[in-house]
Amino acid sequence: MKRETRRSGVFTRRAALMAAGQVAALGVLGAKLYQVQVVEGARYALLAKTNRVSARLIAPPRGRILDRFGTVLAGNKMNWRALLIAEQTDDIQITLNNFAQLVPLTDYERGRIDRELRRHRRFIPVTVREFLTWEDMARIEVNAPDLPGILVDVGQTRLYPEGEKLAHVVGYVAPPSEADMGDDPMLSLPGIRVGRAGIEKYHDLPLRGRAGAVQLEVNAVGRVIRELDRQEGTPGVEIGTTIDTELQQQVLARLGDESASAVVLDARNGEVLAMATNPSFDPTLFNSGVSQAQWVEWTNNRRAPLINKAAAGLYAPGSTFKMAVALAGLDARTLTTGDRITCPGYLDLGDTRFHCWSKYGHGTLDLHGGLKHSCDVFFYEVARRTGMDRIAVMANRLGLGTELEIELPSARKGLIPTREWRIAQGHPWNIGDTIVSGIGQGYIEVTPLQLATYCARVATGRVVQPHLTRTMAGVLQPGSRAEDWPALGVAERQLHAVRDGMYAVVNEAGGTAPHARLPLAGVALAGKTGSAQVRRVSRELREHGNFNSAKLPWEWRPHALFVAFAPYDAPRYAVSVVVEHGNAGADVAAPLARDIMVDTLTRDPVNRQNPPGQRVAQGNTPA
Amino acid sequence: MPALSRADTSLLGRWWWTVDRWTLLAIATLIGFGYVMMLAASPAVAERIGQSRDLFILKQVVFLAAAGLLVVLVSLLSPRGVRRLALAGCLAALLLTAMTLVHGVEIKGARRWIALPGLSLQPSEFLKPCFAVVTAWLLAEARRVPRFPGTLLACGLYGVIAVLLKSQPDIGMLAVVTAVFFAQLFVGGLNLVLVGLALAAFASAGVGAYALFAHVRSRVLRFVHPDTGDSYQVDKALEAFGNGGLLGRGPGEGRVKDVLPDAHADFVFAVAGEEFGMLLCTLLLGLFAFIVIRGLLLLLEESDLFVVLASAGLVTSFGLQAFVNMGSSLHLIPTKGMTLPFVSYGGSSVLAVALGMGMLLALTRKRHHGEVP
Repeated sequence: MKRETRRSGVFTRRAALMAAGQVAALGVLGAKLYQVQVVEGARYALLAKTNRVSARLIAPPRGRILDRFGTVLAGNKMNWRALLIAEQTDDIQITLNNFAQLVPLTDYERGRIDRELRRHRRFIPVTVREFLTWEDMARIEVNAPDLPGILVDVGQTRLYPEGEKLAHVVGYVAPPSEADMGDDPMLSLPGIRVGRAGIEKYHDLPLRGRAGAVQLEVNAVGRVIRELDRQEGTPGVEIGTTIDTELQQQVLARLGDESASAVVLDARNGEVLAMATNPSFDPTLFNSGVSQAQWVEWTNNRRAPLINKAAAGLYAPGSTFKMAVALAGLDARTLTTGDRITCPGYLDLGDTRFHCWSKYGHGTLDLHGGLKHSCDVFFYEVARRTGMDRIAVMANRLGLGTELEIELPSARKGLIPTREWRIAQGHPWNIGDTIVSGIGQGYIEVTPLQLATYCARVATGRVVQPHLTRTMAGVLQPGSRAEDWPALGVAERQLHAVRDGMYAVVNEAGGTAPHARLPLAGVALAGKTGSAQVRRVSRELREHGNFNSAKLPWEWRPHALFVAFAPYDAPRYAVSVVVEHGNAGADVAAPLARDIMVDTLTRDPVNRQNPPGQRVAQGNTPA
Repeated sequence: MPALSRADTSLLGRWWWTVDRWTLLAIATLIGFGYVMMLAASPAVAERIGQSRDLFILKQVVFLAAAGLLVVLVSLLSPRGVRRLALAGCLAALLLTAMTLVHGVEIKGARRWIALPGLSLQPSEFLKPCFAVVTAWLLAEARRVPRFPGTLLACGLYGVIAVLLKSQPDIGMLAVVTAVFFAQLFVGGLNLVLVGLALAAFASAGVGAYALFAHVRSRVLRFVHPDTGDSYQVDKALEAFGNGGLLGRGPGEGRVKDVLPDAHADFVFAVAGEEFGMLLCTLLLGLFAFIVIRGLLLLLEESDLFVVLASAGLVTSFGLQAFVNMGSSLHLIPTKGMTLPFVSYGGSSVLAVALGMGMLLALTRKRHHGEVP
């Protein structure tokens, strides 16, 4: 019996132990239940609510564009706007009519809204009116019950503090088109803009940044109840350009009212310090869509304000091309620095006579004299000896008629004709074509930017590429040092001979551009004039002797060109100036180039200590 | 509520005054809860598998009613009656389980079911309670009659069942049966050295199952590395719990039943969590805990070894099954296809659990000492 009791004791002990084990197991279950349902409940609840949570993208601020000293060229500002969500109103037209009674809408705006409503799905907000004032907003908010589907929110809009000054360089943004939207869901957001021209277009992707996302709890009709989660996007990259806004302003002031363009390069590394085009336009107008009237005015303007003349304007280089011809001859050994050529005022080839600009002729000249006097016959002869194909190769090496690596999508390539090109067009290449090419006429077309680049390459002997991007996100980009650029591969002696000729043009007695002489002590400018005929001068006009281009209608007058670099003995800056229909380069373009060079040398932007990278870094901490 | 007088000596009268009414109440509550959960989860499932939802619900209503009746009927038996029923049931279930290997219906990679007109039967479910009672009898008899090779017979029976279940394969059921047998040996005063050895064998069996059976391995891997495999069911279940929170989304408002294939069976606890919240889940957990703990505590006053061992086995089987089901849903253990007693949809499961609970109630009825054999 005692044994029975003891055994029974073991049973009960062990049964109790089992009970305890079960309690522990169920306790663990209870604890897990608490953890899952209460502690982590919020997280799981969020996951489970996909039907009721709507994820929306938030547009990141677009990256700013700065000049080389940190001046803002393109920034962002708050933009209060009214949006319309089509599916939240029974009748879109009634809503818009009610809205128009508070904030008048033009027919043009109504048309745009209708267009966008048709293009987007019914739940995508469409912008009704941007840049609302406080009064507009107050009116809209008070009358909200009459405006179903209208909501007011704040976005960002592009701001160009320097306005017209740099419109062609910085470019502008505009609402994305249907084609743009394919790759990026961010682009369907209201108020989003994509770069349409200039740096805004070239660097559009880094400038855009990455969209953030906000998770909203919405009720059955899509109204936002509360914000559940927010991930800020990555702002667009800040682009530091090579531009010096002050210098740009000075250059524009020099150009005055002329339809003209000028480019100032750092000759040693190709940084574009100023790129002025006149007339210009207000880039902010593209933000909300350009009106029909404005567009007509721009496109009908014969001075073409929308065209970036500096990078996309094509001109015959005229006599500024002569350095390229000379270098081609020297390189091909069809010309030596000592070769002398006699100019009687014309060159006869077969039964065609090619005139020199001086009908009395220049007598016997070497290269120095040929450049100094800009003798046409001298270069006719060099071109004849050298041949067009070799001239074209040299011109391309010097940056003429080739694609430059400039961050301007609208930049044009121009043309240096070759035998092959002409034959591809279905015509034979005549020797006469080579002759006129020798003085930069005929089929040759180049841009002012190419001319400045050409001048910088001749001045430094390096294949510098003009560029506008100095820093991205505060990081200095390659290309800012002279050593970043390879040598041109033309003998220094030959380059020197050409530079010497350019020096003579300006500084020696009898040179063609005495007006370009610098009024600064100890600093000399070397340059070359050019005038590009728009209309072929007929023989009878010339022979009747009353040919005076200044009396021609404006559109028929030749363009005036001038290229220059300075200082002569240590080239630092390269300048090109093109004044449309400005007649002779020597009279109009040369003094402008001189003044621009004086401004540049005085300001000396390259040696000003204020790199934008440092400014950006400091900008994060309050001063 | 009792209309039965204490002096009533009829079968029902004696039953009412001797049965453990608290456990009975807990079981009745569970059955009621099972009814509610079935109404909540089944329509969605019926719709998805293309059955008539009325028929789908009606079947389970009939099963739940039958289960209630079964509990009462079985609990009317004397311990001797329970033993006989268990022996008969064990033999029948063993036979049917063996038959599944030949004539079984294969569902989701396992042959566990026998197709009967109108339903498919899972005989191994019935094996569980019957096995617990039979081994208890064998072990107790071995103590009482020293020459009776009860322990050996019990081990033999366990071995046969183990082989059958492994062949199906039904590793979950095998684990439960093993745990039941082990619990009985443990409570029966097994040498602690042997307890240790048994635990080691248990562990190595687990490793063996992992190594031998692909579906066991995949479930364990999914449990350990939820990111690598398809842990859709558990993810959805956890979402459902989180969604339910403290008070739940309200009856019928759950979403998980629309996206989980096994919402009405193995993941019914998740449906409960989503629709009724943590408070009710805790109540459910409490009910299971109550039945298990009360069953074990009642044994403390019991002196009859057979009753102790049988009850311990039945309670272990019941509690373990509930724990595995809820633990799977909560991602506490790897997913194991096991039903939540009385709450999950399914005829075999509900009737088998009712059989076990009826036996437990019958065994724990108050008796005069020595009345047992």
